[in-house]
Amino acid sequence: MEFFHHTFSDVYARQNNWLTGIDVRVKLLYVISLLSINLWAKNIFIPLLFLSASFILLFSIKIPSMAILRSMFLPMLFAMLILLVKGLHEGERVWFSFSILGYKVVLKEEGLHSGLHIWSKVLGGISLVIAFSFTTTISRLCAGLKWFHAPNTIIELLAFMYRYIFLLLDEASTMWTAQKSRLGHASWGKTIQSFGTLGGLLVMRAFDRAERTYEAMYVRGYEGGSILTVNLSPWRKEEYISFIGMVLILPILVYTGNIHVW
Amino acid sequence: MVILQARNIQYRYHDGTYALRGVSLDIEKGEFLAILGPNGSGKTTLLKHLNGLLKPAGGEILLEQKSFTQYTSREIFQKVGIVFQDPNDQLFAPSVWEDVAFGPMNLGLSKGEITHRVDEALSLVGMKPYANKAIDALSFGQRKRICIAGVLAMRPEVLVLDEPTCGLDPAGVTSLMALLKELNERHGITIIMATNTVDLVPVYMDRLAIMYYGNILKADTPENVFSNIEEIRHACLELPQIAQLMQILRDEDDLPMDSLPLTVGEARKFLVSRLNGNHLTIGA
Repeated sequence: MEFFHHTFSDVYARQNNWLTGIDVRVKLLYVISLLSINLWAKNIFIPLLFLSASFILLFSIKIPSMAILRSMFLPMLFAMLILLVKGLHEGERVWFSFSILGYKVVLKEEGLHSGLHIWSKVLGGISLVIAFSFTTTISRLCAGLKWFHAPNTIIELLAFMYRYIFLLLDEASTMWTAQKSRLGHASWGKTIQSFGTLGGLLVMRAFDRAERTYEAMYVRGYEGGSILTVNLSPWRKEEYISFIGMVLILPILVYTGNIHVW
Repeated sequence: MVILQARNIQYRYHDGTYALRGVSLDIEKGEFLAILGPNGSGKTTLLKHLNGLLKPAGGEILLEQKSFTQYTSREIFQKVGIVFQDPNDQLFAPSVWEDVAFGPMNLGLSKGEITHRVDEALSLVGMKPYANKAIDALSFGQRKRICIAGVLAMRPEVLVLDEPTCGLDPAGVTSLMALLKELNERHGITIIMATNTVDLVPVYMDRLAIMYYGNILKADTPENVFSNIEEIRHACLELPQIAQLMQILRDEDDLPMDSLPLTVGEARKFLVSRLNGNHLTIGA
């Protein structure tokens, strides 16, 4: 559970540095545009460029490499899996083969190429999202989304999810320990049974808490609408310049043939 | 002047449990009232009635001599604020400032007024330096303070708290109780606090109401309520620890005293006076 706590925490985004100081709307625009470029990229160089640029940015504000790796661990695992599956199942030309327990494992060139392309896009995309999340608090993100007129329900859900995810993890951790201390995980069968009970109980507790939280909101005048109070100021000159910079990048990349949008 | 009045309140939960069986209670403006009772006695249910969260099945609640039915829910919530037992139920915004601003924002106040009220409320609870912190980065005691600030930002006349000291360490309890006492004495906020920590009552509260089995057994000053030990025990409660010691000294060691000292200060005063050979009446 500690792993998830660290992964979801926005402790680094609350620090004061040049990246956290950039307006959330500019950062959102950049991330969305760069993610689109990453998605349309024809080769692995653009995603890898985003990956290295994100790392450099994060190191420049002294984010520990362990924290970055922790955040990238799960997507990296999936990316490796995709690379492996593609390499094993796609293409004709054999790149490398070996035997395990009498089974012949063959990695094919075409599959590896296409797998590597996807792998680079996953890493490039996730590194952009991580760079954004390490430099933007959830309340700023919600304020930014509100400014862009994202649906209120989505923004509220996001704010609630972030607020209560730690409590959910804590409750799951406490129940898990309680089950373990009473030999609830003594065998595989018992572990599965305990896990099912834990899941069910978590859902029920979440409902109870939702009811109590609603009461707390109701007595403070909530009648539907927004729970967010942070409003962003109008754009300054710097934000306009950054925005124009972003608008120019896209056609340049399309023109130079680094991305294909049709 | 009576600010809140409960008249023969009855309430039954959907599972058939009778939580309140005809509760009647008068709450004076500006007083610090404790509602003391064992678990399941109906304290929380009564508190939820006092700010209109629950509607009674029978009886009525009056706020400033007018029935709750004559007010809108919004008006009641503005006048009577409630602080729940678990701060995690109450703090739902990502940061401290946003959470405290939630009530004033729903009141439709201007941006300047919201900022003023949030700053004021955070200063009152001593949490202004934490305004930009994330809720999950706060300690349990700090969260309790933010809950109180969130309600204070709506400027209520009555503050209802459900076991606010539950889960706090001794220093946290003292600091929170000192804060509530200050809000009550200096800012004139009427406070109603449910608790089962008897030791707090004679130190901080003006009056207490003993709840048992969905009813109020007695409501009076701590001195008068704790003078009837049988009644206290009947309600599954105990005397404050220092009073228990003084009771043993009186009943088993034949130390004569007119009434039981209920606080350490009173007991000290009494014992010092006895050691000096004087006779002292408690509370004199």
